[in-house]
Amino acid sequence: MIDASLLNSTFRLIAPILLAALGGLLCERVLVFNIALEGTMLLGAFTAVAVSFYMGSSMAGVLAAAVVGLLFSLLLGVFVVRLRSDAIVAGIAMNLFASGLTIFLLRRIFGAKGYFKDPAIVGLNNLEIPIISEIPYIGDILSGHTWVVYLSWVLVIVVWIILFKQVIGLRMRGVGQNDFAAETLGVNMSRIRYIALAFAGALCGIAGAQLSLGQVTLFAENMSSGRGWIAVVAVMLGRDHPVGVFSASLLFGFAEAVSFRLQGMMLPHQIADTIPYLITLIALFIMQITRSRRNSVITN
Amino acid sequence: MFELEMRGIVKRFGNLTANADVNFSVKKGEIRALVGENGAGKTTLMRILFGLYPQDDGEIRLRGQVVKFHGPRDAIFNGIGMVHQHFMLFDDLTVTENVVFGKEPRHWGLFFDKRKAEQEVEELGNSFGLRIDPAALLGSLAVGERQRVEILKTLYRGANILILDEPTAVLTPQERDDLFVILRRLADQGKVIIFISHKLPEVMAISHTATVLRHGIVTGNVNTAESSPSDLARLMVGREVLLNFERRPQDPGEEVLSIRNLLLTQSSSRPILNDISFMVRAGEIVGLAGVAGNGQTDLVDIIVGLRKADQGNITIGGQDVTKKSILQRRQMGMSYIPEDRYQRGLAVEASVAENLALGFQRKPPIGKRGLIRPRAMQRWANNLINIYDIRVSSAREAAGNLSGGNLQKVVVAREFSHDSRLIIADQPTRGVDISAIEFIHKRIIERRDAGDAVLLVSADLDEIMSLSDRILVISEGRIVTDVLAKEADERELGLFMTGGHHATMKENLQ
Amino acid sequence: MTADHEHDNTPSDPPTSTSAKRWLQSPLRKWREEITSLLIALFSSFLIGGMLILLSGDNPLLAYAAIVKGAFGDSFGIASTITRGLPIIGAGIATGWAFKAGLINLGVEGQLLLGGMAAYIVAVSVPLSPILLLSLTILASMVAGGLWSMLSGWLETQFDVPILVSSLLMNFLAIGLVSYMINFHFLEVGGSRSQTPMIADIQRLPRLVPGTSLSAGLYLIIGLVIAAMFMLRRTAHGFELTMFGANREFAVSTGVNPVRMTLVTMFSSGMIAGMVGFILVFGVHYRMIDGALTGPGYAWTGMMAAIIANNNPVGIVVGGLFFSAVQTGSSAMERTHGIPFEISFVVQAIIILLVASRKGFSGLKRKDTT
Repeated sequence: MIDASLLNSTFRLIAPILLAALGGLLCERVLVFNIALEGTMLLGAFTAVAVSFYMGSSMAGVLAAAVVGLLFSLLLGVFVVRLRSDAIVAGIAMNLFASGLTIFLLRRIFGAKGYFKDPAIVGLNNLEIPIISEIPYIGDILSGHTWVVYLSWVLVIVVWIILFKQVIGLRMRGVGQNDFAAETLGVNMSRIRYIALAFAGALCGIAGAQLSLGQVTLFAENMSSGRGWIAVVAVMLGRDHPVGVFSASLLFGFAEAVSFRLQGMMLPHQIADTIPYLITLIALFIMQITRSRRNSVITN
Repeated sequence: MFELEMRGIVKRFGNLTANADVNFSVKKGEIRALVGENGAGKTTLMRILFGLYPQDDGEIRLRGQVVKFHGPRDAIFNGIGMVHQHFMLFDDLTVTENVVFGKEPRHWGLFFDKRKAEQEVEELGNSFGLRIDPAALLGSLAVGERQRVEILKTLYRGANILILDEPTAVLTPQERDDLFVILRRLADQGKVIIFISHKLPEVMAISHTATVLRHGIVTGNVNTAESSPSDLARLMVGREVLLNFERRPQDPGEEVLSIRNLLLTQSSSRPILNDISFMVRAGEIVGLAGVAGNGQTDLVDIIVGLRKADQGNITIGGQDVTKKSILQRRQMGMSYIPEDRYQRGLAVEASVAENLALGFQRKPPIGKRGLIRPRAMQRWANNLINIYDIRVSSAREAAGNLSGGNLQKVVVAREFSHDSRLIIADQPTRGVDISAIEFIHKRIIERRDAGDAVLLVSADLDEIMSLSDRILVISEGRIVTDVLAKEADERELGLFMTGGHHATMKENLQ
Repeated sequence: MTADHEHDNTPSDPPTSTSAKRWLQSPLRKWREEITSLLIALFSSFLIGGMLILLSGDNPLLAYAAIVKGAFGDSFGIASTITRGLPIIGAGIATGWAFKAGLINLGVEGQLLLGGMAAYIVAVSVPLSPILLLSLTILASMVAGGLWSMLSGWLETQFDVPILVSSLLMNFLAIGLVSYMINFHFLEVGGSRSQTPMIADIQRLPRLVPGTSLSAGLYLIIGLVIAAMFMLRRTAHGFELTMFGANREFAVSTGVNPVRMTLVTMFSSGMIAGMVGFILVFGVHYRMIDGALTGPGYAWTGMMAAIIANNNPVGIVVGGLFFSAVQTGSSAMERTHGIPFEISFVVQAIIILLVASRKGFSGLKRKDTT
C-alpha cells in the first residue's frame, strides 16, 4: 500500500501546509498568534490564478501571490501590533475578509461562481530532476514536483539558518522566551514582529499559489479548506522548530495522501476528506497527553 | 569625588510616596548596601537610577555631570548595569547568547559570529574572575551561575556601576560566598557596587557602607564596620507602632485551621514548602510574617485550594479538606482575601455590585433556587457600600474606576460577609491608603473578637505586630519561629525574617 | 484608576438630581463611547466597501440604495431579512454564550450542522405522533450539537487541547460526516442533487408569511433570546458564567468550578447551535441539502454579530438583523445591479476588524500554546 506514488503525493501535498507553517512558526516565535494563515493562503491562491491568467506566466503568479500575501499580513500586523487588537479576533476577521473578497472578485473579474478554470491559466509544471529521477523508488518520490514544492523543502533549511545562525533569529528566539528581557536589551518589538508577519505572509501567498497553480490549475471558493488551521496545529506540534514543523506537516501531508488513496479505493470522499483533520486532532491530543500536567487547579 | 550622586530624589505613585527627598552618593570602588523592608523604596530608587522611570524631583550625577535618562538604554550607555531580582535571561539560549544579546558580534552583517562572541565572553569572564562555560545552555545552570551570567551582561556593556537587587535571595550559602568574592574583586577594580538587601548578616559581611530606607526616607547612612545588625534592624523597622487597638484579651477557642507537614517541591532546588505545620484557633489572629518569596504565596494557594501540596494535610474545623474543592472549603467557613486583588479578588470590568455579590448568588437574600434577584443584589451592594464606607457614586459603576483602597474594601466587604469562621487574609492592606488600612484592620479585629480564626499573611511587620495574637515567621519554606505577639520583639522578628539567626553564617562570611 | 469620589452619597436614599446625573453618566458615557466608535467603524467600512464597488466599475451609491431597498423596501424584503436573520441571531447567541464565559467556540458551524442532521434522522426514522416527534427532533438537534461542542470542552479540561483549535477542526469533521450521511444513507432517489427527501408536511414548521421562508422558527429564536437574557441576568449560573469570563481566577477562587463551567457552557453553546440547525432544516429547507447550512455562512456571521455586540443578547439581535439586512439587500442588489452579493461579506469583515481594534474578548487572555 505504501508505494512510491503515495509518498510522492505526500511530499507534494505537504507544501502548502509546510510553507504556511514555516511562516506561522516565525510569528509564534515573536509571540504573534497568527491565525490568518488560512485567509492569506486563500488570497495568495486567487492572486496566483488571476495574475497567471492575465500575464500568461506561472512565475508571475507565484511572485504576485507572495507580494499580496505579504501586504495582507502586514495589514494584520497593523491591527495586532500597532492597534493592539486581540490577535484571535483580528485573525478570524482577516480570514473572513479574504474569503469574501476572493469570492467577490471571482464573480466580478471572472464572472465565475464556485470556481474558475480556464486554459489560459498557466500552471506550475512538474519538474523532473535529472539524476535523481532515475533512481528507482527514491526517484519516483522525490522527482516530478513543482519548483514551489522544492522551494518549500529548501525553506525548511533557510528558516533554520535564519533562526539559529543569524542575529535576527537569535533575537526572535529571545523575544519568544522572555519578551520583557528582550525589550530591555534593546530589541525593537514592533519591527521584529512586522518582519515575522511579512515573511509569513509571503510564504502563505506562495502556499496558496501551490494550491491553485500546482496541485490543480483553478481557483475554487474557499479552496484553502482549513489548511491554514492545520498549519497552526503543525506549528504547535513542531514546537516552533523548522524540523519539527516539517515532520508535523509530513504527517498531515501523508494523511491527505492516504485519504486520496482511500477515496480511490471506494471509501466515500466525504469521509476520506475528514482524515487529515482527524489525524490533526489526534496528534494534538497525543501531544498534550505526553506533556506533564500542571499542578494548579486554575488553569483547567 | 563621588562616582554616583543622587540628590533630593522624589517619586510618587498616586498618593503613595515611594521616595521622599532621598540622597544617595557612592564613591568609586565602594560596595554600598541599600537596606530596608518591602516597600521601603529601595527598588524604586534603583529603578530610577536604571532609567526605568523618571524621578518626580531631584537629580542624578555621574562623576559630577548631571544626567537624565529616558530609558534603560540611556542608563546602560552611561555605564549603569542592573542585575534584577528576577533574572531576565533566556533559558534556551547559551550563556554567550544571553550575554551578548542585543549587541551581538556579526559576520557578513546578518550572521551571528558565535566564535567571536564566545571568545569575548570567555575573556570577560577571566578578567573579572567569573567562572562560566560560554557554550553552556542557560537552563542547565544553577542559580549562582545564572547570576554570574547576569553580572557578565552588565560588564559586557561596560558597566561601571552595578546594581544588584536582592542578589542572595535565591542563593545557597556557598553560592553566596562565591558571589562575595566576585563583588570584592569588581570593587577592587574600581566598580561601584550597590547591593540591595534586607539580609542583615550579609550586609554586614560584604558592604563597606550601608544606606537604610524606611517608608521612602533615608533613616541612616552607616559605615558597616562601625555598625551591627541590630542597629540596622532598628533603622529599618523603627519605633513606630502604627495602630494600637483596643481589643479583648485573647480567649482562643478550638482549633479551626490545622496545617500538618505540608511539603511542596520543585525540580532540583530546595522545596518551596518544607514540612510546614501550624494551627489557628477560633478567636485568634495568627500573623505569618516573612519577606515576599519565601513560600507564603504557595502556602496560601494550597490552603485555599488553588493548588495541591505534594504531601501533608489540612483540616478546617476538624474535617480534612486536603482533597476538597475551593467551594467546599468555603462552605466549611473559609473566606479569602487574596494577595493581588486585580488578579484574583475582582473583575475590573464588572460592576461594584457584581463584585460584591460573587459568592452569594445561590443563597438568600440574593439567590433563591438558582435564580437571582437583581434588586436584592443592589440592596446587598448598597448596604455593604454603606457599612464599609466605599467611596463610589453608584453600585453600578465599573469596579475598575475605584481607587486601590476602595477596591480593597470591596474585597474585604465581600469576604467578610460570609458566615465564616476562618479568614485567610493575604497582604490585606497592600497598596492601600492609610484611612482604608485603619478601617480594614478594625474589621479584622472585629471578626477575631466575634470568634473567627484569622490567618494574616503579610510582609509588613508593623501590620503583623499590631494585629496578631501569635506570630509565625516563614523563611525559605520553613516556619522558623512561633511566638506570642506580646512576647515578640520586632528586632528579633526582623532577624528571623532576614535569616539572621543562622549562627554559623557570620563565621563563613568573614 | 485613582478616581476617588469625594462626595458622600448615601446610596440607600433616593438620589438627588446631581447625584442622579452622576450615576447615569458613568455607565451611559461608556455606552455612548462604544456606540460612537461602532458608528465610526460602520461608516469607514461602508466607505471602503464603496471604494471596492467603485473600483470594480459600479456606482456605490446606487448599490447601497439597492441594498437598503432590498432589505426593507417591501414586505418580502423584510420577511427575507428576518428569515435570514434567525439563524444568524441563533448562531450569534450560541457563539456569544461561549465567548461570554471566555471560551472561544469556533465550532458553531459544525454543531448546527450535526444538530440539523440529527433532527432529520429522528424525524424520518422514528414513528411517533407529530407533537411528540417535534419535541423529540428539537431535543435531538440540541443534544447532538451540545455533545459535539462539549467534546471540545472536554478535550480542553482533560488534556489542555485548546478549544479554539479543536472546535474549529471538528467543523470539518462534522461537514464530512454529514455530507457522507446525506449522500450514502439518506440520499433522495432519482434526484440529481446531493440532498435528502423532504420531511412530511405535518413535521414542518408552519410558514408565518405566505410566499416567504419565514417560519415558526421565529418563535423559537425569540424564545431563545429571552431565555439567554433571563439566564444571564436572573440566574446564578448566568452570573457565574459572566464573572468566569470576566476574570476566571477570581471566579474560581470564589468557588466556581472551572471544569464544570467549561463543560456546561460548551454544551449549552452547542445546544443552541443545534437548535439553529433544526430551524433551518424544519423551517426553511425541509430537508438536508449538502452544503446549504454552511454555504451562507450563518455561523460566521453570527459570530461577528456576537463580537460587535460584546456578547450581549439584545445587541446580537440588532447586529444579527443588521448583517442579515446587508446580506439580504446585497442579494437583491445582485439581482437588480449585478454586483456580487459577496461584497456584504467583505464589508462585514472590515466592520469586525475596525471594531476589534477597540476591544478583544472581554477578559480573555491568549492561552499559552507552547
